[in-house]
Amino acid sequence: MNKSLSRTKAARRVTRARRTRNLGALGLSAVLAAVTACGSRDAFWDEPADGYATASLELAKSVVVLDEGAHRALLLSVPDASLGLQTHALPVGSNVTALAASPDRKRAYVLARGASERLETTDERPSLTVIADGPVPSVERTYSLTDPVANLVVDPRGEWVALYGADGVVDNPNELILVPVTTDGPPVTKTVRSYGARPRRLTFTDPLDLPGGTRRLLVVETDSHLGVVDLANPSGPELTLRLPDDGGTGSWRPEEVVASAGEPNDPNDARLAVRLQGRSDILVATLGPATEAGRGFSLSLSIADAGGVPTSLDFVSTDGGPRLAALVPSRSDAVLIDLSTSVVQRVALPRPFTAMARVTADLSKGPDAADVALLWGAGASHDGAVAFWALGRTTGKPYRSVESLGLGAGVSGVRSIPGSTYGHLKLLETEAGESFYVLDLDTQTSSPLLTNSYGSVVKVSSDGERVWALGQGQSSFGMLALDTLHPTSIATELPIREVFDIARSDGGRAVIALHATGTLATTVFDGLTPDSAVSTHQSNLLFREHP
Amino acid sequence: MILRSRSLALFAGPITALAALSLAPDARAEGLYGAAQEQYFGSLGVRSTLLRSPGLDPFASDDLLVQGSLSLGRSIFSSGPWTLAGAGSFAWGGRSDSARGTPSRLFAYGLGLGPEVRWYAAPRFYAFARLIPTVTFVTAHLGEDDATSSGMAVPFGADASLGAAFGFLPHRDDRHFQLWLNASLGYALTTDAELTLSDPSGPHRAAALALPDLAMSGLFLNVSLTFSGG
Repeated sequence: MNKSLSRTKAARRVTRARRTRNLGALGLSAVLAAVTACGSRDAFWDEPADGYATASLELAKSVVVLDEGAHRALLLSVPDASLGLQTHALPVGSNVTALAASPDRKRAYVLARGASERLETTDERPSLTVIADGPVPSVERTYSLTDPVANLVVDPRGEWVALYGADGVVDNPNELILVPVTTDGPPVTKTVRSYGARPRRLTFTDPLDLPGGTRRLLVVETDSHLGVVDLANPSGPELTLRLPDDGGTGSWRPEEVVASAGEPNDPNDARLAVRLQGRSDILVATLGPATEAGRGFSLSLSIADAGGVPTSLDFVSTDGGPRLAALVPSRSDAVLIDLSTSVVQRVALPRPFTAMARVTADLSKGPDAADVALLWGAGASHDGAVAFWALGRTTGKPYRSVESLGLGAGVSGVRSIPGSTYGHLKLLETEAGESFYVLDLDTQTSSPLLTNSYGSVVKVSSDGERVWALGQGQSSFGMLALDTLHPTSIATELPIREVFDIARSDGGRAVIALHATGTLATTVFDGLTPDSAVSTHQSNLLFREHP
Repeated sequence: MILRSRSLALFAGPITALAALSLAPDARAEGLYGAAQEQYFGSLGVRSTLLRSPGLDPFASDDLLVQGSLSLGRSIFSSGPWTLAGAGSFAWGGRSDSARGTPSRLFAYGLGLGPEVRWYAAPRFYAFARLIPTVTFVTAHLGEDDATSSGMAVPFGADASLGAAFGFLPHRDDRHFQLWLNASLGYALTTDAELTLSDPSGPHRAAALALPDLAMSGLFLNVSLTFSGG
């Protein structure tokens, strides 16, 4: 009886021991399961955030901030007067090589190389992402590319985006990819003729009245020739204009190309003019009737000598007919080249101006026929002035007048004011960036405006109502209302990298100051009446819109 | 209605535990193993929780949260091999990592109070089940020392766990204390709590940064050493 009881107790002990072991095994299994199941976090949190190197871009209603680490673009917008910042994250390709806006600022283009080594089908291809601006921004379209491309050029009329500069293992440097971004058409890939050179610059022309109809051209500049692509038939063969070889010292390199539609209703007088690097010769190519089957037009070349190296040229209308105007600062003069006879007429200028722009269309009351050009210049030989060159004709002169306006500082750039309200004003940037000028084309007067730091940059709001000025590394910026030229200073608590003026959804305006911090920060002000005391601040921007 | 039921369930545990703790000793029935089942106890251990919440992502590259755990309690009622105990628990610990290259750290303090039911297979071995409503105070920091954004989240929830304890010391009727190795496996379920960080020393009118909602829900393993005595 006792032995039986002992056996029973022993059996129970064994059973208990087994149970204990089983429970231990269960616990151990759970631990192992927990450890092995210990997942990793979303890759977003491991991607670096480098707010100092982030590229940004102003659209009409949003600011695009590239968050390269997370392969996305953050679109910042301001819905209403509460000045709250709204963010949208949109995926873009990795390794971005170019970021650009459409001329109307309704789209942003992001060109990306994709995965640095594409080893799996899931690895990202090179791409062009088109982002559409709006209250809810979206990716309008993504074009997948087979090879990386380095350069992106946006058509000033917004119809095309051209990609060039292959950047793969095997390059075809003469390949162009023409993307019709306003239609659903597929991109056109074409290789322009090489002659041992590669494309350096692309220029889209306005519509030109050509034999066979009105069409636009894409001029491809290389070190040895020009290629002219008919955008009505982009996949067709391009016309090539080989530049003369300078006796073994190398080809003439194009520096600037301008186009003219010529006289209305004359399809045979459209022209291209080419300024050459370091040469006084100016090439003029006339686009006439086709001489070869399969081509819509032909090119005939003439050469004019400007007497010195020109630094700027443009087609102008004078009382004597169309001319090609060029500035020759080494002789402190300009030349007018008769397009029919190639006769060169010299115009003495009071200073060596280096740049010009036709401003006829910007004048409130322009002349009947002849153009007016604004001349400016910078550099040690320039004592700071602009000039109005009226291209009418008076007795004994091929132009009407050159009126000089002293500024006291060399002009490094001229910005136009969008819209019609203040289109007669120009914003003149100076070399040192310590001042800028508002030039009234109608009254031919200028208003100097001083900034409190060197290297200041100015930008015009897209509605053409205001000018913003920002000093490098400053934590304050200024607004100039163009109606009164009254300046307003705005302070922030962090140094500002860039200022953006965008439209709010409620019809107002907002100005976003982007601060250079590691994870980016912004301060938002009312765009029309900015006030340092009425603003909102957002830190850690690159953490927003997290997964 | 659902909310009310949850709230009732949330408070049922502590109420039961407090009510049970308040029972007079003479109201208790006799357990199968006598004094071994009727003791105060305190334990110190390690709790590892597998948190799947996206709210942990900015602060940890994996989902594991290891915390110290402390619990105190008292057996209240015994009948045969069964014992009802009340226990209060405290867990503390956090993670630090970097979020997109910015230093980040999170610390969680969890408090719980609830009942524990034990089944004694032997004087030195028992299995138990716990259902403990909890509240967790989570502090979070993001940024360098001179520009740190901070915030707090308070998720509510409950821990449900099953475990076993093994007594190290041989059982003797005249010994009224025991040292136990205690292991339990359970699941913590909490509400999602908003986690927004702000920098008081930063610019004026700075908007807070909203991070992913944080829930302290997940499978957990608790291993502890428990001292009991009566």
